[in-house]
Amino acid sequence: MLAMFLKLEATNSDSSAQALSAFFGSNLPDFMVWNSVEALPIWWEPFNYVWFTLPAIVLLPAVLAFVFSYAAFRRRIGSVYFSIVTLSLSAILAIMIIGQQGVTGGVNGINDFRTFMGINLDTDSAKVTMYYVTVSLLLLGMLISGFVLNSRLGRVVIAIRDNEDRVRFSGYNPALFKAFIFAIAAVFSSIGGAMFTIQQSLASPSLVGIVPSIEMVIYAAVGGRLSLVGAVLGAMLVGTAKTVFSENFATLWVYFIGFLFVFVVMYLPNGIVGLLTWLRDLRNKQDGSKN
Amino acid sequence: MSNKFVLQIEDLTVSFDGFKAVDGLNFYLEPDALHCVIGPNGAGKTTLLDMICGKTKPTGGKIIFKDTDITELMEYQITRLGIGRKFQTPSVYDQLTVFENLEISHPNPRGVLGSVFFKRTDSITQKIHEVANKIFLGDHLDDTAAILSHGQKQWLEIGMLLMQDPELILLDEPVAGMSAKEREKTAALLNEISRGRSIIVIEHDMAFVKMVAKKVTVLHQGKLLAEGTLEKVQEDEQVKQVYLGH
Repeated sequence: MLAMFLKLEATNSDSSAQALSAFFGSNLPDFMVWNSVEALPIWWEPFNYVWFTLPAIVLLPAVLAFVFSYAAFRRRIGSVYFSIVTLSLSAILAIMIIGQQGVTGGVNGINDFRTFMGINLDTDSAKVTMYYVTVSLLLLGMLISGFVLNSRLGRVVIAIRDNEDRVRFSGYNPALFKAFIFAIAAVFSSIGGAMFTIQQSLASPSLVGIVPSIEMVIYAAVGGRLSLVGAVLGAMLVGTAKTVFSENFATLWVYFIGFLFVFVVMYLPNGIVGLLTWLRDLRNKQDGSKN
Repeated sequence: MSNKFVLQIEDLTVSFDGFKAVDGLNFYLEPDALHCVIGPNGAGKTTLLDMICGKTKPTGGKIIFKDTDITELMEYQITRLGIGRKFQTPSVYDQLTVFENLEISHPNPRGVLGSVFFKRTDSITQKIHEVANKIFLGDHLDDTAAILSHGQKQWLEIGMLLMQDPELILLDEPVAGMSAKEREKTAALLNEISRGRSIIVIEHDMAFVKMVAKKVTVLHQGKLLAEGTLEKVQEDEQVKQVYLGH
């Protein structure tokens, strides 16, 4: 969504695009021109406006995720089946983006942004600002997650994991709780995606499909799936490893991440955080036996 | 229209692939009754409870709780009307403490947003302590449920029901896996909590049934075989046949 906004802003400020617009009657992003799309699709229109785009980044995924997942959870579609459905959805989306090249940019995605609300994105100061904005958003996200996890809702969700039937017969509607958590996750990923787009100057279908979705599961697994800090740690570690590995051995990257996942699941079920807690407990025990 | 029965079950039938687990059952429960349902394996006892609390939808018949027809309601809606269910295997939240297990079972709030902004009040804390003492777990509030013994988990689940103050409690084999001493304590507990509410207990242990039941219903192959006091039921020729063989 942010990509659409940025692209339109880039288009509108670009002189050569303006020359073309005289010909087509309106400003069109460059890839639409190459694909002989002659008018801006109607669902692109709202993304001309920042007051629509920014709230939409938060609200649209929340509503979509809630409606979809509530429908699924109400029918008792859970665990593995739910993962399959969500992964399929992301695969469908990726295929759709590639297929509808004229309005989505296809395999190349949407790229080549220049400014955000008039601020040039290529300057160093803009990059530093974006870095700080991202870090603040990350901390805010962790704060909100921590608050939710420590509330009664957090305990209900743990209860659902332990014994969903019992929760149901304690008068809760578990589908509602699961859909709510799913919607929060959707908002966080949407914000994450928007920040990625603006910093990488790119939104492409290769970031939508099944592989990136599984990569995120691996972030959480490596860091420690029961810990908030663990998930962040995992994302940073795996992200760094990805950069190093894919720069040096591009083709081996996928195998590496596969082995990493198998290793973590088999030997470190609670990830790095689980390992650290175990080491701490071990040391405490040794201290205890010395006294 | 007021109803003198707490629970009124009429012509209740459920079939799984043609097999009728419960077949044209009529069952009435009076207020303040402690009613035991007994019967050989496969008699349809657990299925009966499943249908009352909404876990299984009947293929025919009606279930009326006080004045409300609950046959088609969702599980959480039935619970909110005041029916609490304890499962055969103890169903507690292993990763949470006894205190948290009880707290989650407290009826307010049950919504999503209410749960996010929930603040524990003194009256809730007090109620948790009260219930914990009643179910013999007053000293275990901070233990995680996973480390409790089997019998203690059974008690905890009964306590979780008490947090909801239900008018009708359904207990599926509450003393399974308990020691003789624990059984006695449980019987005393049931007698205590049955004041002011109705309880249906499914049980195999006749000694336990003797300790608690005011009225007994015998099911056999999904049908009602006999009903009455335990003494009367034990004298019944049909019941003897079913239990002892021909």
